[in-house]
Order: sequence, then structure tokens, then C-alpha cells
Amino acid sequence: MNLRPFRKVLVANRGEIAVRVLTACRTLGYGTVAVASEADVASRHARLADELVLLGPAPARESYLAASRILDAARATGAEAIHPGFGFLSENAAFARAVIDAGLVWIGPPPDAIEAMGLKVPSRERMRTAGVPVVPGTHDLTPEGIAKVGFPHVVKASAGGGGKGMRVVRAEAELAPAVESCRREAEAAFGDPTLYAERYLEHPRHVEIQVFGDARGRVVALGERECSLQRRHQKVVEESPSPAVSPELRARMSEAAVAAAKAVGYVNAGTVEFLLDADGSFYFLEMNTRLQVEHPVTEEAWGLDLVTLQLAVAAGEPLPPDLPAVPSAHAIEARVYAEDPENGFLPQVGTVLAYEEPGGPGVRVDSGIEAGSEVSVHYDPMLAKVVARGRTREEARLRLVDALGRTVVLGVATNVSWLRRLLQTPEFVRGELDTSLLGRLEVPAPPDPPPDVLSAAARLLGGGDGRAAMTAPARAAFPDPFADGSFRVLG
Amino acid sequence: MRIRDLSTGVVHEPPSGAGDLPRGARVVRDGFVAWVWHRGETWRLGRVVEKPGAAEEEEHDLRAPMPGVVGRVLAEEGQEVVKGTPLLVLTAMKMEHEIRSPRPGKLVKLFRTAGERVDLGDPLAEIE
Repeated sequence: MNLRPFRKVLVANRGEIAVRVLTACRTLGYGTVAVASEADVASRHARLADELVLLGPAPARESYLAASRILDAARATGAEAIHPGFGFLSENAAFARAVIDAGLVWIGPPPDAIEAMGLKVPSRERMRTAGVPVVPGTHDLTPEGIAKVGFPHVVKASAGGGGKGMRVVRAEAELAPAVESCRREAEAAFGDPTLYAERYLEHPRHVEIQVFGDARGRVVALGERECSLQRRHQKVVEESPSPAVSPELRARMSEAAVAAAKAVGYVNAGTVEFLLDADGSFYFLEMNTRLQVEHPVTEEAWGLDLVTLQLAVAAGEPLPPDLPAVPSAHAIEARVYAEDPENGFLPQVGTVLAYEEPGGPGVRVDSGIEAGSEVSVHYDPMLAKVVARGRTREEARLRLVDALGRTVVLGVATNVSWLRRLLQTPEFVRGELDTSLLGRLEVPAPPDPPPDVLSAAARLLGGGDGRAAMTAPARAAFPDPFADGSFRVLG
Repeated sequence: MRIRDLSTGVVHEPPSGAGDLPRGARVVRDGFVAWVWHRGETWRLGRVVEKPGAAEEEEHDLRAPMPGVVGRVLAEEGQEVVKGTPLLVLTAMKMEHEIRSPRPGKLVKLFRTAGERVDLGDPLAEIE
């Protein structure tokens, strides 16, 4: 690790996280370099940086995953440090090593730590040795091997993450098809079909601890995030602090998380994920060796800027001595996905035709889109994160419900309205969350369009016998069809 | 004119006579679809095609809800299906999505086989 001061940072990512990191760099006076695929050259993150390097065609393999092109970009622009964001190359130890070998500063953990935590089976062994509690599991997926884990269990991609390539198996008959389908998904998503299985706790919470290490070997915990609301193992709503975590439990979980990080010589920002059982026992799930998508709830609840801390630690500075020991507020984040909640949450693609973000006290939006943005099959369908902070959980919740009610996305279907309805369910209001809640929760259906909305649509879609609509130009920003001016048309 | 809510599939009869657009609403038209945002809700609204031939096609065709690749075919032509019968698996965004029959009937035709690419709106199946 060449942790030393630098002046210019290349951000090897796109979308909202690239915007987030580039903004932090600009704030601190660093020179900034963005990289973009051909699909993203005019996007917000590409325009934000001082310099832009085109990586290649839209598919990630030829752009944001093309390690050598990113290193070339750093060389060509004189960038001295690389921040990987999350996803893409952020947990690729070989890339981290290549960055360091090129004489650049890697704004992330040591490659050995990434490697140690990257493969689930060895990492669990290591955690067990370090005294961190782990869930029973095996990589022997024969009926004999599975018998030691029992049912229900979850079959996962060993190289996985982000919920891709996972299947819950409740009976022996389900095992073979689950393994087959999981293996195919693992191969497609990670190029590695290795699987493992572990005990599936019936109604656990997902609670993770933010950790931070510096080059002097100091590792601190910065509280927990409750991420129990997941659909298909993808997080949907996160908050800090967790409604289920007392100061005493936080202390025990923090101690385990710090032990986990120290066991692999961790430096910079990382997250230790635990499953928390109803009785207060918790088990190591995995360590994410990067900044998390949901880092804003820690920032808002603890009054920190984690990206700024990442830059300082990468520059060789020690962690500040006066980091907070307790949260000073409550924060909740809702992830806005391009998906259709009324039709099996199918991912949506298209052009964002109108976009408005909410603001106001305690409201923060991390996003990378704007009107005109293309949402394509090439990248993650997450468009934005809407975060609200309050003195209490209820104040944060009310602010988030209202903020989502002021979020406008037209042209691509999103889950914004569904998120609002979710945040108003009695279960969420009471904070009674677990990782399977979204599977059984009855989120109220969206309202039918009221008469005035229907008549507006009818006018927009034209009169006549219906043929007029058939010959309408595709995707025209609709010219003002109304004379009274009592509305706005956005294109 | 009748209007279909493209999320729920419910067909609505707009009130006769032209009313004002609701205050504060945002609207935009994209081809056959009107997007309307009002008071925190977003609707995708399409005009129901009243021509007999076109209406029939709309009722009986199952279209791809997203671009992707057909992973597996789970039903056979000629099979009787109920609402929710799994028909095929579409792989997109590195995830597998089960495409189910939107209505009961007879599966007359499957337009795609495993391994084929499909674009948004491509016909997948015909259900009578």
C-alpha cells in the first residue's frame, strides 16, 4: 500500500456513486478525472469532473470493468489515486494490486484484505478463528454434506455479492434444481460457478457495522445499519441506527466487527455484515471491502463524511481522534430502482423524460440521472437514493415519505410510489423488520388514476378513432395541448 | 375513448368533457403512453385500441416486459394454463425472471425458445 498524499483522483465508476465521490474530491480541492463508457459521455458524472476519459463501448466488460483501460486513463491524465466506488472493480484484488504496482494510491483496503474476504468459504474460516460468530455452512452440496447444515438453507455463489446467484432450499427435493439454476447465475454474473450453502435463519435481521481502519493499525466501528428490507436479497430500505440494536448490543457487534477487520489487516472503509437473530445472537455473514451503497445513512445519523475519511486515510493520515461514539440523529434511505413493482419488479429500461428531486430540511438525494438520461440493460437499475434524517426515527420516516412524494420520474417506471406505501405500513412504522418481511408484507396497491388524471391522459393521447394515437411520433416532448396553463409539461 | 393503466392492466373510462389538468401535475407523452405524475403517484396510461382486430391481438399476446435472453421454456404449446402458470424464464440484468401467464386459457403459441434474445415488447406467447 503506497498511502501518501495525492492531488488528482480518478473515479473508476459511473452514476450516483461517481457523482458522490467526485463531489467529495472537488470539495477538498483535488483534481478530478471521470471515466465513461460511450453510453455515459454526456452523463452527470462525466460532466462533473475536470477531465473525462472515454473507456469504450457500453458493456461494462469493455468499459468500467476494463482494468487496463482505466490504468491507461490514470496514466494519460496524471491522476495519482483511484477511487473505485462500489460494484465494478471495487472488490477486485488483482485490480487493486495493479493500481498499487502502477505507483498509484488505491483508495480502498489492501488487496490482501479484499482477497481474504472475497471468497466466502475461506473468509468464514478465518472469522471463526478470529472468534467472530459464523453461521454453520458447507461447500459440500451433496445430500450428505447438506445434512450437516440442515433445512432450510441458502445456496449462494461463492464469488457472489449483491444478492445475485442465491436460492433458499427448504426441502431435499428443491436442492438439485436450486443448485443448477444458482450455478448458471453464478457463472453468468461472476464467471465462477462455485457454490456454498449455509443455514438459513428463519426471521433474522440484517444488521451491518461500518468499520474504518487507518495505516497505523487503528480500526474503529461507526455504528450499525439496519438493512433487513431486502427483495431477492437486494437491499431496498436501510436505516441507522437499527430499531433493534441497544447500546449494549451495538458494543458487542462493534467489537466483533473490529476483530473481523483486524484479522485481515483492514485499512480504509469496510462493512461487516451480520444476521441478527431475535434473541440478540448474531452471525458473521460477509465483509464488504468497499464503501457501501447505503453509506449515506451512517453519514447522516453520525454526522460524518465517509468519502472524505477514505481520501484522508488513503493519503496516509490517521483517523481523526474525535470520531463520534454514538449516533446524533436517525437516518433512513430508500433506493429508487427502475423497476415495475406491480409486475414482479421487472427491471425497466428507457429514457428519463422528466426528473425532479426533493429537497428541504434533513433530505438528501444521491443520484446520477437527470431528464434525458438513458436507463439501459448494461448497468445497475438503481437510479437514486433518497435519504431523510430526523431527531427521531419517526421524524426521519415522515420526511422520507414526503420527500418520495415529491420525487418525479417520468419515462421509466420506478418503485417510488411503492416505497412510499412501504414506509407507511404498520410493520415499518413499528420497526418490526426482518429479511423475509418484504416477501410476506402486503404493501397496499397503488391508487387508480383519478378522473382528472384520466381526462388529462385522454387529451394527451389524442382524439379521433384511435388511429391518431397509432401514428403519433414516438417520444415527442409533448407540445402544450392545453390553453389554460394550469399545469407543467416537461420534456 | 378508454384508458388502460399499464401497471395494473385496469381499463378506465375517462369522464366526458375536457377538464383542467390537476394542479401541480407533470405530464409527458411517449409514443402510445401518457405519463402522468400527480401528488406523489405516477401513472402510465395507454389508450385502449377499439378496432376489433387490434383489440384481440392486445388481449391475447404476451409481450416481453423487458429485453433479455430466454433462459428456459417452462410450458408447452397446446397446454391449458391458469393465471400465474410459469411460461418461461427471461434472464436480464444478470437475474432470472419467471414470465407467467397473465390469464387462464390455452397456450396456442410460444414464439421463443431457450437461448434467444428478446427485445422489450416482443411477442412471447399467444394465449386463447
